[in-house]
Amino acid sequence: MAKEKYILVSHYCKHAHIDDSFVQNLFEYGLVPFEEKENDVFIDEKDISEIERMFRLHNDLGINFEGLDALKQMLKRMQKLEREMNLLQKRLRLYE
Amino acid sequence: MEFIDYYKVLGLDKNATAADIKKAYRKLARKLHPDLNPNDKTAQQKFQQINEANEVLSDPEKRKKYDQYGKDWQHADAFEEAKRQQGSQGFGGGFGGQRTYSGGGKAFDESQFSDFFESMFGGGGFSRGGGSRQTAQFKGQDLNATLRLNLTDILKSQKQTISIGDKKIRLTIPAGVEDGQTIKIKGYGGEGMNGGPKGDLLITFEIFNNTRFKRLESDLYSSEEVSIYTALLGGEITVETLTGKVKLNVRPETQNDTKVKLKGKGLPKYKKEDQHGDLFITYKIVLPKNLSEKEKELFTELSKLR
Repeated sequence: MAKEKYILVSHYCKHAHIDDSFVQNLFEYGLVPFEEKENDVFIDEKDISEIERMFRLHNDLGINFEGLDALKQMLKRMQKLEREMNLLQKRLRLYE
Repeated sequence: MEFIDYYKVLGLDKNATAADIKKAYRKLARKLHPDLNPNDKTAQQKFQQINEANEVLSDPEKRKKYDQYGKDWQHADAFEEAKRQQGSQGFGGGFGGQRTYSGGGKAFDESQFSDFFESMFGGGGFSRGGGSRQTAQFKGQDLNATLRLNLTDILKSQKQTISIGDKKIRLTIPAGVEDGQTIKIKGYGGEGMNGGPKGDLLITFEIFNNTRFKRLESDLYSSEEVSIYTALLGGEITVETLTGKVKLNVRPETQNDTKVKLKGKGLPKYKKEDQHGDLFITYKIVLPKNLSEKEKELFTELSKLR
């Protein structure tokens, strides 16, 4: 099993120059999971790229948190469909 | 160096207002943003172009200079000379001071701007509009590369050295890697922004099937011709597998399109090199042609027995 690495949210925000409230909103909208231990909030290292992606979409395109949530779901569905399509294409090749 | 018509890039004419530019940029950015078009290199290139266009046209000073000199791109040498005389700040003292990257904060840096942009506006830095927006550190851009292998190359894990720019990366390619599969090599991508970590290198494998077998994940499929006599009476045939020839016993009264499974004769499973998929063989029964008189006679006799 991969070793999980948690980062203190306040440290991450300071280091990445991202507003704490932005990350807090991501938590509230359930867009990124977090861990709370002894009044400190942590994020998993693997979720950092997702936070940065949300930040870019929010800042570059002015997408609000509801929009980010909808986009996340749609992208997830799109990736699932792409995987299925690839698998079906491979199966189809067996009959060519 | 080619002249770039930034108005055309944004689908505007030269009389476009600042509001028109903003509106056109936002519309195209929503369509082409790399985060909404993963693995689409064309969208990413276009996004870069519209950013560059917006960078110039949304800044009144830059737009003025673009309108004034842009079409004289053929005199770029003269521009360069003028630029050299004025130091490294580009025309008219450069645009913006420190390299701040405020605003957009996309995984994108000025080195990705076109030669045309660099020539016009110099490398002296620019500040991206955005007013109160924050400056953020970002991981560098992920780089994409494609590695083409033959199907027979993935029977065993192998080490390969690939060159990315001036760097050489020693890479272990796991046996059984899938066609279209992407592996990530951390920290070999573009430089981070504002001190952010480096991006990753994403290598996508293109597996060329240089065999007669069809592949579905770790299983292989093929068909073998079986004579009518072997199919009816049973017998032994020799079939090819990826690792050599094997003998198979064909049962008496085998029907056409019968499938047999050769366990473990498929491809190694990804990251489980000691486990293999299976090879599925479909028997194709071949009827004899150009029958002799004697054969016709015997087949007629046989048909009367049924």
